Parts: sequence; C-alpha cells; structure tokens
Amino acid sequence: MKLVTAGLVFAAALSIPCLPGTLGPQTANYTMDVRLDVKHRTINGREVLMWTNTSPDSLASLWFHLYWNAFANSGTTFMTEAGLSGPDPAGNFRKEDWGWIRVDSIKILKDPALEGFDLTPSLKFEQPDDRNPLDRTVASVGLPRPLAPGETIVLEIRWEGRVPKPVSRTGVINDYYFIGQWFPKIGVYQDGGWNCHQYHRESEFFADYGTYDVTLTLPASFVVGATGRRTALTRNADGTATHRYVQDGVHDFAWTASPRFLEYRQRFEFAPGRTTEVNLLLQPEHRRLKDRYLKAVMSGLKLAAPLLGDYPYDTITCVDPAYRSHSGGMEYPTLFTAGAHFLDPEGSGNPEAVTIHEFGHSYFYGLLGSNEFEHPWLDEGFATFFESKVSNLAYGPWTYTRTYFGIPVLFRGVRIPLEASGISEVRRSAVRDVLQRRAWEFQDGTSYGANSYQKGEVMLRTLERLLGEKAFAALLRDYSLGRWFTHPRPEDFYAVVSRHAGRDLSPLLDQFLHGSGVCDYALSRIDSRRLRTVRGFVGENYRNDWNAGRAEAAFESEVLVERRGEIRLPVDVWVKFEDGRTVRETWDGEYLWKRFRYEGPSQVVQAVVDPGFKLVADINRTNNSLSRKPNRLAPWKWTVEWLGWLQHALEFFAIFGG
Amino acid sequence: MIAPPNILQGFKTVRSAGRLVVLLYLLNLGFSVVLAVPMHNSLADSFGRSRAGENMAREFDFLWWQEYRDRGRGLSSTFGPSVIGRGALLNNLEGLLQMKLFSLPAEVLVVFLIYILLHTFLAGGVLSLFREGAPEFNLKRFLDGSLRFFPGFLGLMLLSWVFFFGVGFGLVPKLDEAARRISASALTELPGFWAGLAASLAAWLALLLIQAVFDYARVTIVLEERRNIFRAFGEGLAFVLKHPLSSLGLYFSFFVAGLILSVVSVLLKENAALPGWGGVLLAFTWQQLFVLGLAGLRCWTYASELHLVRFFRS
Repeated sequence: MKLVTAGLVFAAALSIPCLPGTLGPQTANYTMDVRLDVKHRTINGREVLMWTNTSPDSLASLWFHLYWNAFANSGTTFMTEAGLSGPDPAGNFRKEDWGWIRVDSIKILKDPALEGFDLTPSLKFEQPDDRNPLDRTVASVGLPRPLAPGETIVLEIRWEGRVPKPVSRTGVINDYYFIGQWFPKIGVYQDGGWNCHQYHRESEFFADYGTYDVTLTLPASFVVGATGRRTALTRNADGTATHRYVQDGVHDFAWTASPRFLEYRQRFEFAPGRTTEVNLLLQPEHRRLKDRYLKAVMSGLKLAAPLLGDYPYDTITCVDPAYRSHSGGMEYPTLFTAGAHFLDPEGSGNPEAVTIHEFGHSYFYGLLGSNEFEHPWLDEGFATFFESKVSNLAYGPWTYTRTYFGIPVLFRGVRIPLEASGISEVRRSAVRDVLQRRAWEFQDGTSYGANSYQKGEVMLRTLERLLGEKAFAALLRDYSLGRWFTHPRPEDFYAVVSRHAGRDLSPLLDQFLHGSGVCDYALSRIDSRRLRTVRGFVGENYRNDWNAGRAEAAFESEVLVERRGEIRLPVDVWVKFEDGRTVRETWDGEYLWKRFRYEGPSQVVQAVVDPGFKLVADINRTNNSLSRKPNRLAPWKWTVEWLGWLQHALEFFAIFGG
Repeated sequence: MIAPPNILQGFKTVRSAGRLVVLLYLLNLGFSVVLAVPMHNSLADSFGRSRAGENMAREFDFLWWQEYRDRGRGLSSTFGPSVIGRGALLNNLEGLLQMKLFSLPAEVLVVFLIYILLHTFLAGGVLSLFREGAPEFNLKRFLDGSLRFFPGFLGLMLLSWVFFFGVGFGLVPKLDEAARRISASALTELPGFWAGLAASLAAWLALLLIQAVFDYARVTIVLEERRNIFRAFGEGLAFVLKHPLSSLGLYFSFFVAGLILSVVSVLLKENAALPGWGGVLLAFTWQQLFVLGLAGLRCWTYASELHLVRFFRS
C-alpha cells in the first residue's frame, strides 16, 4: 500500500500547471485510486489532488464539492427542489437506496513544513446558496497557513461513497453503474471568492481544468467506459480487474461499468489527418441501433470541426444507458450518455439527436468550460443549437413520430423543419423568466429548459441568420477556439459577436438575455385602390377652382407592418405586385409599425415580413404574410382529412351504443 | 362451426337492405358535418390570407401547426398530424382502449353521445327489419321497430356501460399498473413493452367480448320480444358461453374484416393521393366508401348474428 501511495504522489507531482505537451491548464490535477465494492455498493477512494492557486489572493481555506450528499436525505437542496417541481424522487427509497460521500481524511503532502498535516478536523459544511443545514454537498477546510498566489498545494483525500439508486445522472441499477460527480472535487476560486455551489435540481456543474489519472478496480466481468484513454488493464487474482484511465485538459471524470455492455471501438478520421477513437457502449437490446449511434457521433465530430475546431482528445465514448438508470442525455469530458428505445425508427431523430446534442457539449461544457450553474445557456443553449444544426446537416429534417401502445409510428408526410426546433417552448414557457439566470432560480424546470435550451438556441439561430451563415460560423469558431479552457462568460460572447458584426450588438443580445419579451412581426394590412386626381377646391381662388377628381389608370397601394412583440430587430419586407414586379424593403423594426406606400400600374397581391426567415425567434410566423386572396383549397383539404378521423371515430365509438 | 353459412345468409339479408345501409352512412356523415363546419372555419381563420394556407395546400406545414396547436382550444385541439391516414385509426384505437376519448373537447363528446344514442335507437329498427328475412326497406316499419325496441336497447346500452367503463376505468388501469410493475423491476424496456402491449390486447378483447354478448342480448330482445334487459343480457351471455366458437367466431370474423377494410382504406388513401381539388374530392370519396363499408359491415354482423341465434334455436 505504501508503494502505491508513493506512486500516486509521484504521479501527482509530475502534473504541474501549464505543463508543455498537455492540453489546457493544470490547475486541478487528480490522481485517484478507487475500488468499487459491488456487494455493498460502495466506492472507496484515495485521491491526490494537486491544486494551484491561480488567483491574486492568499487563501485561508479550500472548498470542495461533495455532490453525492445530495442523495443522503430528503431534506437536501436537491431533494427539496425536486420534490417541489414533481413527485418526491426518493419517495420509494429504501435505506440502502440513499447515497452519500464521507470524507475520512484530508492531509497535506509534498510540503516540507506541513507534510502529513491533517486538515480533517477543520472540515465544515457550507451552504452558500440557501443556508440549508441538511445540505452537505459543499464543504470547506481551513489551511494552517494562507496559500499564496501561484502556490501549489498537494492534498491526499481518503473517502468512501455509497452509490445511490439512480435519481439524477448517477447511481446503480441492477448491474449497471453510472458514476458521475462522485469524488471530493475542489471548487473554482474566482473573483475573490469560492465559486462552489450546492447540488441543485436544475443545474449542472463547474470546475477547473487539469489532468486526471484514475485507477479503477472492480469485478473483472464488467465492461468499463470512462473519461480519457485506458492506459492499462490488469486482471487481479481476486476476480477483479484494474483499469487505469488518463486524460489531460479536462475538468471532470466520470465512468460507467456493466457486464451487459456491448463494446464497439472504431477509429474515425473526422478531418484530414485528425482521428479519434469512437467507443460505443451499447445495451444488448439496442444492438440494431449500433450503426446509427456510431454515425451520429461521427457526424458530430465531422461537422463540429469546421464550426468549433478539431476535437482535440484521442477518444470519445458514447454510452447507451441502462433502462431506468436516469443517466441518459448527460455530458462528461470525452464521455457522454445518450438514450434509446429498442424500436426507435430511422428518421425519428432518436437516438441521433440526443447523441449529437451530448457530443456538442464536448465543446461548450468540455473545452470552453462554461459555468453551468450561473450561465446555463452558454452550455445548453449552444449545445441545443449545435444539435439541431448538425442533425439537419447530417440527416435533413426529422419525421414527426408518435408512440401508440409503446410503438413509435412515423408520419412520413410530416417533416419537422429546422426552424421548428425550440420555438414552441419559447412561445409557451420562455416568457416566464429571462434567459440569463442562475440555473436553480428559474420558476420551474419547464422554464429552465425553455430558456436555457430553447430560447438560447433560437437566439443563436436568429443571430446566425441576421449575420449570415458564413459570418456566424467564423464567429462561432472564434468564440470556441479562442476560449478553450478559459471558462468564458456572457460578456465574452458579447464581445465576439460585436467584433464579428462590426458594431455593438449588446442591445440586441440584451433583449434575449435580460428580457422576457417575444419577437413577433406581422403583416397587418395590404391594400390597393385606383389612384385619383385630387378632389375639392384645389386653387387659391377656391370658388372657381373646384376639381371633381377622376380615377387614373394607376394604383396606390399600402403595406402596413407591425411589431407586436417587445423584441426589436431589423427586418425585411417583400412586396409582390399583380404584374409580377417585386420590391424588397428594410425596416429597423424599432417603432410599433411601418407603412410602405406605392404608386404604379398594378396592385399589391402579396407581402411578406421577414421573407428570408431570418427571425427564427418570431413566435407567430403565420401572421408574417398576407395575400389579396385566401387559399381556399387548404382548409377544405385538411377538413376532409380531419373528417376521415371523425367519421371513423363515430363508427368506432358506436361500440358503446350497439 | 356453423358461422359461415350464417354469414352468407346475413349477406343476402343486407344486400336486400342497401337503402338501410345508406341511411346509416348518411347519419354518420350528417353528424360529422356538424363538427366539420366549425373545424373548417377554424382552419380557414387560421390560414387567413397567409402563406401558411398556400403551404398547407401543398403539404403539411409543421410550423403552422405548432402555432395552431399552441393556441388551440376546444375543437381545434383535435387537429394535428396524427389524425392523418393511419393516425386516425391509431388515435381512435388508443382513445377506446385507454379511454382517452374522454379527454376530447366537450362539443365532440356531446356529438358522440347523441350519435351513440341514435345508433342505439336505430339498432332496434335494423334488427326488427332483419327479423323479417330479406326485407324491402320501409322507413315507417323501420322507425316502428326502432321505437318499439328503444327502451330495451337503451337499458342494455346503460348496462353495457357498466361493463365497458368497468374495463376502461377498472381493468385497464390495473393491467397498466401490472405492466408498470413488470417494467419497474425489469432489466430492459422489453418486458414492460410486451406487458403493456399484452395489457392493451387483453383490454381490447374484453371490450369486444362485452360488445358480442350485448349484440346477442339485443338479438334476443328482438327475436323474443323481451322487455327484461337483465334476462336478455343473461341469455346473450348464455348463448355466447354455450356456443363460443360459433358466436364469437362470427363476431370476431366481422371484427377482423373491419380491421382489414380499415387498413386497406388507409393504405390506398396514403398511396393514391392527388394534388389540388381532385385530391380533395378523391380523399373525400374514398373516405365515404370506407364509412359506407363500415356501416354495411355493422348491418351484416347484426344480420348474421340474428341468423346464428335462429339456427341454434330452431
């Protein structure tokens, strides 16, 4: 054991900040030795954390996340928030279903003066967000002397964790383990304080970058997937196997294990000369979805490269989660979970869309490292935008699918256009909050989702169309590549947008980020009438200057456009005349309405506000156009279709009458 | 197996009562039009003079529908891509088996209720006409029969609701719960999926069995001029239990025929669509032929059941 300890310390000591040849900063380097006890569902761990104070402050304490304590009792902040927004997530928990993490010791290493100094007695729980004494998801330890700016501290932490029944993203069900947010993890010291939030129902995570060198010992029959590259696999005499995973340039480490996984590995060249190994861990009942999963990951890799930069890691692992594991659709560095139903038909978007979405997080959550607690849209909004954009490029529009008796049925005549993505949620729920808000402070989960995911996506797509696809791609690439490993904030995005737009676009972005208003431009009137000469007393003599007025051959026409929502955006207006002539106008979209007048040989027959569909955020697209004559065929066509359903229903439900 | 000759006899009876089938079809159309008019107006209002109308004249405009759905209340909430083609059949099947029809808007439910009552009323006329062999359709005799048997049929209808809703609100939730329990302890989604499917199938069979028993009860009322509905129900049940192969075989044969007719109709409609007004006319005509076929099949079922009961009694 002593030898192992020495090895771990040596390995940790090798990781120094900004080590040449490593990806990203080396602020928080972890070397862990972990053993999974499947009988008692516990994890015993020892980690050596080497953390560098990159701030200008001297620090008297260190703060840690102990996320698994969110599942320790029904009074934690996570459980309370979850219970408020739905059924009690631990309602049917037995004693052995609860999860927790207990720190047994924290000692200082590699410090000649303080070698072996025990920080454990100073450990105390903190509740920075809500002062909830039952929540023990954050803890701090006092230091015997302040940690100076630029100074590095090495700690040895021993802990034990009990794997919970899955509630949210982590846990064990049957023989499937998904282990995330599972070890004592140091917070981020930022802006003169610890940015170390409690575990909330509607929130994800934030951490510093470093190198993870993790050794996992667990039953040999388990197939394992984890963050990073597997560098060693040793079969032990006691029926266990030890897997070693190493990855630099990441800010978290997650792993999964199950004897049921089917494992597929394929090296994929996503850009000339750039390859990565795609690993797929699949549930056996989803065997038929193998190629579709792999294609989705590869589409993500290939299409992300020109938009966000070449994927820099050597592996990407896609996990098809076990049934009822509550671990689907979640991102971790170089590993993510998707999710599928064994009957998912091709064209429905399942499991492709979620796979692409979670892969997209590799950039926004992974490489950029946005603070998901405080700016959830910087991750989820971008990932949702990425998902719909890449899906559309790789597969075209999805087909509308409905499930009857557990069987998904495709309606091949109904395709879902890209512009439909997210707008319904924006229309229905986003107005209840503003986009830029801390994740747990939204009115409820629906509003959190509608804002952070969909409103963020719709805002980005609107911006893309206003600036042009090419310019937006350059902007996105600049925002991404220029900020890998830097934890960008909204103001960083503002700066990149304004730089690429060539003007300050903050007022435009503010409307989405800090306002709850909607975008709705409408074509409210088109009108044409014969031009008449002036009628009345037209001369200065009045009595003898009467003009009766007469109709001329020309028409005067009017097109009235209205802004019915609070969001103001520049907008185009397209007008078509009876003789085929068309006119394109632009309006700054500022005032409540704008009238366009025309005189000419023919009448206006149709007008469209936003003809190029730039304003994807417009919540009412139907009112964007007006023709002189309605289309009479459409209502009849669809009434007849609906009538078919109704007539059949009448015959069908006549069973109740004989 | 005595059913096939009775099915043939039933066909001869229905063939001579073509006008009756047309009358039943026209009632279906009439009731449907009562709701179709406001639906047409709602769609026409929503399309207005917008491009959405032009788009929808060509194909389904998903963006328009999202807006329509998000703002939709009452009748308009029943319109969506899933009422198109096969969706119409699946929606109705789901509505019946999971009693989702009660989540339909009130105006639709009221029309359904009146239609069901009228159907009950007319069933007496249909059976009394068929009792006479191969009849010429006579409206007065038909209505006389309807009036004479309506009290008994109404009683049977109400009694059948006890069973139907017992299945819908008692058995189905229990079966669903059992499926959920299986699902909750399963390693994969497969056991829960199959259990759910089996639960739906069991509910379906239970509903069909109830209807078969009450069909024979109605036949008993007409053949023997019974007034006591409980006795008629008992006799219907006894008949089914005594001759399960013939009685249920005949009933399920017609059910399967209805199912085949529905599937063929959907496949033809989905694959033989035309653009423009011609397409609208073709779709409408095809639908009417389908509903006419369903009405004919219902009459044929009654006639065959009547012949079957007579056969075993003679």
